[in-house]
Amino acid sequence: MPVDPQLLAPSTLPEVIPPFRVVVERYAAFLWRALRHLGVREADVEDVCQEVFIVAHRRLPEFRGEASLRSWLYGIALRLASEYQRRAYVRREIPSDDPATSREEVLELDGLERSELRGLFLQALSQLDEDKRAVFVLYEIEELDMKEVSDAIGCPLQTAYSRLHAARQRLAVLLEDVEPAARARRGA
Amino acid sequence: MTRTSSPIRLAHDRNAPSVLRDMVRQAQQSVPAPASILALTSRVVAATVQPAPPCPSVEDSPASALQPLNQAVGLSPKLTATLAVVLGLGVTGAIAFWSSTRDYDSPRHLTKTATMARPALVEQQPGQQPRIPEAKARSAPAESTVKPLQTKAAPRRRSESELLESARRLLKSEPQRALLLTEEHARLYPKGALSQEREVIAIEALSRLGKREDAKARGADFGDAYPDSAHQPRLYQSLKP
Repeated sequence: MPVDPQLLAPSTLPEVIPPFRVVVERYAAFLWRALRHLGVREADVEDVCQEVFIVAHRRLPEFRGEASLRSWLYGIALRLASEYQRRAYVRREIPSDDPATSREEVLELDGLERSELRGLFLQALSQLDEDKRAVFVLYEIEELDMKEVSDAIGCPLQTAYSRLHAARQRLAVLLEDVEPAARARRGA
Repeated sequence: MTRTSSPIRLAHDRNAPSVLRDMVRQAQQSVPAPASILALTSRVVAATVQPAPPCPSVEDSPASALQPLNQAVGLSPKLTATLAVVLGLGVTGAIAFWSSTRDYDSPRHLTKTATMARPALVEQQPGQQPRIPEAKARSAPAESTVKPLQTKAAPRRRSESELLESARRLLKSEPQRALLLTEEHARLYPKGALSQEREVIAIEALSRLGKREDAKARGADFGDAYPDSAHQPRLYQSLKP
């Protein structure tokens, strides 16, 4: 049963910040998933996710409620994922994620094909420009609305739309060879 | 040009390339294992939530406990020692009374309480006030505190993550024990930071024990209590016929 994204959508009422540990409970899994798709490797994602919450806790008094709490948290996650990508050791090392042996639980994993697809998807995402990938991940995977996406990234709404469009096009090109292969396999 | 509506998301767009749509759907369903979230939550809570103030150590000597007073008002060491002897007789009673009136949610505090209080008090839920008449509470030290205080090796209360990690490990091999551990967690940490994880493990344990109806009912309660939980997909899987 997928989680209804509307349940997490911002309300028109002023947001009440719950106790911090409730914030952690509520958002940990979502931020973890986002960080994975923003290029943080499985081996490092727990540490980066913890960093997100530590930063959020430190900055919580500055939170003014101009954006929703979740877009504010995703914004912190974006910045830390970006810093992570810039760390020398990450750039130097060859990505070693193996989706098939990852600790993630990909639900309803029905064989090698899905595992392969996941690996290809993560690889394709890693080839997107950082700003386009951020919009794509927040809108398509995390299902934030566009206003929240632009708040989290700190860009105008129209820019977010443009980046989404560009990300989709780029992904379609990167994955164009996969589509026929997948069709052939389904047909086999 | 100003857009008025957001584009259809790929996961719901029938016209999107099927592989890309499948990949996005798969990405949406990829949730970290509960154990990973458990560990993360424990680490974050430990790093950010202020611990409860420590209770006075019963191992501390009365004289050392008076040290701050001595420094503050300039008492002589001799007078301090005399005060220590006089007050030492009443200190355990004072601590027992103090312990009956403070928050019980501190692990350290509970350990101390377990060594001091009568068995009935040990069984109390954290966060609740001991339900004993005030007169008895005041007289409790004389009848219940002196002997247990001499026992230093009180059992340590297991942390939330320790309890649930044990439960998780036992899920497949001994679901009954896993369920008992979740009950222990609920008793010790009724408002714990890992309540969601506890419920997920308990529901899966019930399911593995063949108590499908109980599992479903508890799953429904979970859905009501945590409608936006990231554990919903996993629960859905474990409750599938």
